[in-house]
Formats: sequence, C-alpha cells, structure tokens
Amino acid sequence: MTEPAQKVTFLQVVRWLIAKALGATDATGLPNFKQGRARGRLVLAIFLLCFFAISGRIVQLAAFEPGYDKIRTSSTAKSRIPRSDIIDRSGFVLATDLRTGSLFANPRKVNDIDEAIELLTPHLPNLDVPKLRKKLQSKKGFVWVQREVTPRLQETIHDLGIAGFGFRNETRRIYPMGTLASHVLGFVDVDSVGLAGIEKYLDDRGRLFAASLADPHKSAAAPVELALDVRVQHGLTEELKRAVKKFKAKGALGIVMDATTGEVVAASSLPDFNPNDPKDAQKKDRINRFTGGVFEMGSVFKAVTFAMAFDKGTVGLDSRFDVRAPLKAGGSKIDDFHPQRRILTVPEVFTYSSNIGTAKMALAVGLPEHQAFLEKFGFFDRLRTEIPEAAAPLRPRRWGTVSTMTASFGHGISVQPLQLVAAAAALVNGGRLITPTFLKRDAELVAGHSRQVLRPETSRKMRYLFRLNVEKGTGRKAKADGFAVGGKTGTAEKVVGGRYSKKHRFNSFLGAFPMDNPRYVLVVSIDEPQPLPETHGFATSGWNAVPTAGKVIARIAPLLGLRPHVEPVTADSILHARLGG
Amino acid sequence: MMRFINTALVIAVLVAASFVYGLERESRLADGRLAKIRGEIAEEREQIRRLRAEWSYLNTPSRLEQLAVKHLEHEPSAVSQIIKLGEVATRVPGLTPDAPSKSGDAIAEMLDRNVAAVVGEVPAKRTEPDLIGNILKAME
Repeated sequence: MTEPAQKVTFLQVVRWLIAKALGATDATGLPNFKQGRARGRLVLAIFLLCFFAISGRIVQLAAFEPGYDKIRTSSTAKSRIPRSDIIDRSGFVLATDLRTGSLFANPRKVNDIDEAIELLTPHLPNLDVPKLRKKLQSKKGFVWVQREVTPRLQETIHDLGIAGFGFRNETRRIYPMGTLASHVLGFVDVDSVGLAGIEKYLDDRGRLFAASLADPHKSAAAPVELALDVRVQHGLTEELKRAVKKFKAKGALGIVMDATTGEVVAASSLPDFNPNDPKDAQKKDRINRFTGGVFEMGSVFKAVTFAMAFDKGTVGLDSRFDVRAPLKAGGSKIDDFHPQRRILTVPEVFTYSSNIGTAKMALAVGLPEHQAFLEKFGFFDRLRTEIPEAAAPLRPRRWGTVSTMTASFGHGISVQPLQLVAAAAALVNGGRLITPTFLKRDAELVAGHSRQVLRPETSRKMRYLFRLNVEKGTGRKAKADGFAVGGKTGTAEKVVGGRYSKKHRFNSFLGAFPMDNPRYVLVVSIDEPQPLPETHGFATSGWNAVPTAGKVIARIAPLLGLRPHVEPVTADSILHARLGG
Repeated sequence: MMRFINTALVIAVLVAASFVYGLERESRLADGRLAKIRGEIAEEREQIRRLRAEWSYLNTPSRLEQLAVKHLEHEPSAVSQIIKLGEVATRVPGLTPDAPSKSGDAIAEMLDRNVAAVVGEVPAKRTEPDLIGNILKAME
C-alpha cells in the first residue's frame, strides 16, 4: 500500500478489467499492485450492486404495492364463500350456517382411559361408556367420541386438557324455525348442496343472484331476503293443520300473495317436513303442492271464465242463462251441484256456482278465444318461479267443445295452484298479471314483471262478484269481520282409477281481501276432506275449505297491517265505487 | 483512509442489520397479533350468527303462541271493539254499544253521575307471574 504512487485513472482500471474478462492475456498499462486492488473493487462492486437491488426491491414492495401484506396473510382468511343466510321479509333468520365441533380421540395417544372417561362423563351425559371404552382400547389412530358438541361445551372439554382428544370443525345448515315454510326453503344435503326449494335455486339458476350478494372483501355473503312473513306463514300453516286434522284430510295447501307486487307472503303445503332432518322430505305425500303439483281446481276456475266473458263483452252483469236442462257433452252430461232449474242472472250463475251457466258462457265466447285467453293467463305454460319444483300444466291434447265446457268450470285442465293465485290477482287488481316471486321484490320493479291482461272495468265486475259470493253465495263461511273478504268456492272431484270419484274431493277457496281495494289474494285447498257429523255429512268446499280460509284471513289480516273496516263493504258499493286502480 | 471507511462500513452494516432485525421482529409480532385478532373477529362473527339463529329460534311463531296462550290473558281484538273517532263521545266503554246514551253525550252523563267505575271492569289484581322462570321451564 505504501508503493510510490503511480497515477492510474479509474478509466484505465475499468478498461483492464473488461480486457481481463474478455480473456486478453496481457493487461495493458496497469501495474501489478493495481491489478489486485482492481479485483477487490470488482468484488465490492458486485456486492454493492446486489445490496442495492435487494434494498430497492424492498422499498418498492413496502411503498408501492399495497396488496403485499394481504398476499402473505391470505392463508388465514376463509377460502370458501359461505352459503347465504335466508331471512324472511322482516329479517328473521330462516336458514343459516353454523359451525359445530365433533369430539374425536386418538386412542394411541390416550394415556389413561379411565381418567379420560371419568373427566368426560359429567359433561357428556349421553355418552355410551362401555362402547367408548372399547373404542379407546382399540389400536386405531382416530375414533369419533361425540358428534356436534355445542361451542360452550367444546371450550369446557378443551380446558379439561385430556391428551389424545380434539375437535374437528364442521359447518352445518340450520333452520331455526324448524318445519315453518319448509317447502319454500327446501333443504341441503350433507355437503351443503341445495336439493330443493330456495336452497336449490341458490345453487343453480339463482347462482348469479347468490354471487351478487357475496362481498369479496368480507367472509360472509349478504342474506337472501324472502317475500315470506313468518307470522303470516305460521297463521296460515296452523289453520291448515287444524283443518287437516279436523276433516281427516290427506293434505292441504295455502298461498297468500300480495296482489299488487306478486310477492308470495306465505305458502304452505301439508304434510310438511323438518329441513333440519330432511329424511321425510322425499316421501311422495310431502311434495310441494303449491308449485310442484298440478290440480284440477274445480269451480274456483269459473272466475277466470267470467272474467273472459266480461272482457270480451259477450256477457254483461245483466245477461241471463237458462240452466233448466243439463248440457250434453260427448257421452256424458254436465249438471249443477245445486240445480236451480230456472233462468239465472250472471251474478246468480256465480253465486250458485252453476256449471251449465258457466259452460254456456264459455261457448258463447268461442273455442279459439277461450284457448287464447287461457294462454294469455299462462295456464298452458309451466310457471317458473324461484322454487325449482314447478309442475307443467295438463290440458286436453285436442281442444274440442267438451274441453271448453269442462275447462270453464275447472275440470280437464290442471294447473299449479300458484298459477291460479296469480290469475286471481289479475282479476281483482285492475287487470295486471304479475309473475309471482318468493323473493322480496322492489315495488318499482313490479312493472317489469307484469302486463295488462284485462280491462279495469272487468276487474271491477269480478270484485263485485267475489264480494257478492261471500255476502250471499257459497262463500258465506269465509267471512272475516271487517276485512271485506271476497272469493269463489270450488269442489273438484278427483280422478280415481280413470273416472271422477264423488268421494274423493279437492276443495278450494280462492279469494281476495279487502275487496274495496284488494291487497292480498289467497287460495286454500284441502285434499280429500271427510264429511263430519257437524257438517251434516257434507264434504263440499263450503263446509271445510271456505271456513278454513275465513279463519286464515281473520288471523293474518291484522298481521298484514290491514285496518279493519268499521262499516261493512257491500258488493253494491264496490260495483258503484269510482274506479280506483 | 480505507481502514476508516471499512470500519465505518462494518459499523453501518451492523447497525443496519440490527435495525432490520428489529423491524422484522416487530412485523412478525404484528402479524401474530393480526392473525389472533382475525381469529377473534371470526369467532365473534360466528357467535353473532349463532345468537341470530337462536333469536330466530326463540321467535318461532309457534313457540311464541304457546307462551302467549300460557302467560297472557289477551285475545285478538275484534272488529266490534273498534269504533270511529267521531263516535267516541257517544260510545264509551262500559256503556253497551248497542244502546247509545240518551242525551247523545255519554261523557257528560258519566260526569253527571259521578261514577268512574262505569269505565269497564277493573280486573282483580293478579299475582305477578314468574315469567322468566316459566320461560326457562318451558325451554327445558
């Protein structure tokens, strides 16, 4: 280092280094001692370069890439998007995912079996001690001790600190309200895959909808809001259950729909099942009757025929029909259940529920028009709502005169009860047919799901007839004081062994309330009610479905926030009221 | 000169290394805290879900109905119990609604007769039910 200084420029050193690197044997113009120093500097330079590169990258990562911290810790976040909760329209949880822990043991690691059992038994009273002892004595590496232990108990057992025991977490779908609205909700399998109802909808057609609820920044998805109201649902189901029990019926169904938005506020089908334990759900009698089945609805369907006749202008309220003689239809006769054998006015045809009169009315409109009208109401197509269980309607393969005659009073054509409710809403709400929905619907979006199918004037006449029928006709027992109920009754004979049976009936009440400005439509049907001594041996609709509907309305109308009318709303007042909407 | 620079560099390296080590340690601790808090948040969320489910279960209409039947003496109000605001002066509870007062002003008549007891029956005082105890019993 103390050699006489010979001036060597930095440029010379670099030139020499490059020459060396390129493999030149003699290095020009650089003294020996400088050569060693140059090598040292080269090493230093390389190290510095690396340092700067690394520190530069660190600064870059820390200062300019904000997502970096998330990348590192993403392993702690949940990777699976959880299933959405399902809530009713006022926010009560109908379905949710809960974590449950199951206690397991590794017998090889359990030191003292007796001590372990002694510690566990006070906390797990259902434990089968001899069986557990046997399990723990085995040579296996894993045995279940108890499935689904509550979190509080988990903590307690964890704190006992027994060697060889542990918990494995599982997610389970829970339906806190049990059987309530089970047919709407559906259920899931052990892998949380929806198998029926809204649960299935969320997995198939509604997947986009479900995904739109999921917030990628949160671990939980927003809940799915149903149009259902649990209190109304309970009121409806409870009254139906009582009716099924009282009339020893096979089953029953009920739907309550908002006539102005198409939201299904309650839908019940009996017998039902418990989605928490859906082993019964696949039984044949547990089908969803409100959309998953089609029925010949019987005389309640007459309302549609009347609306058609009014709308086409072929019949007015003052028209008259001769119902003295039964109608010949093919090989059989069409007769009335309450034969009047005289000339009836149109309101009388409705309130006496005359098959002859209604069939004549449909014939007067004409076959092609009748078909076109039914098609316009969607009775020829499968109604698709969110619920995947949707049955296709059945209608005669070749539409003839007999088809029109029978279809006019609801035979020979089978539809989903929900389809009929949607049609009834159009009959009373001023003529707008609204696609029903089980999800909460924004009032502003209703227009996009509805179309005008009737003249408002027709709707007013139908309100009058419906109200008149409850005031004076076959629907008298559906009266619910103060709520101005209106509706049509129906007693359909079921086909048993290829022919209509007088003993197997499907009884319905199709109605709306309050009739001066209908807010809700409902249908109540009872499948095969039996005659009782107190019904004087009758089993027609007026004795079972109609009073049940009356009880349902009296119960749910206050829950729906309807203010009772202090003064009665008469049919005449509806007819003469100024058209509201 | 070089020696001085080298010494300075070595010291600088040591200082930088200890500083970086401190930072790293701190970030590791923070990371641990973060993971713990995340776990706690997840636990709280789960607890909220559980409580919401339980609240929903407790609000099951059939359960509330049973409790109401058992513990309350209320009944759904009938339409006959509702009168128009304008009729309040002529139809007072305690007077039969079908027989309106003679003078058309029931309140004035009441004041005249100076009887407060006309206003319906005062129910006999009930012993306070042990509501919470009963609910707990019902849940068992």
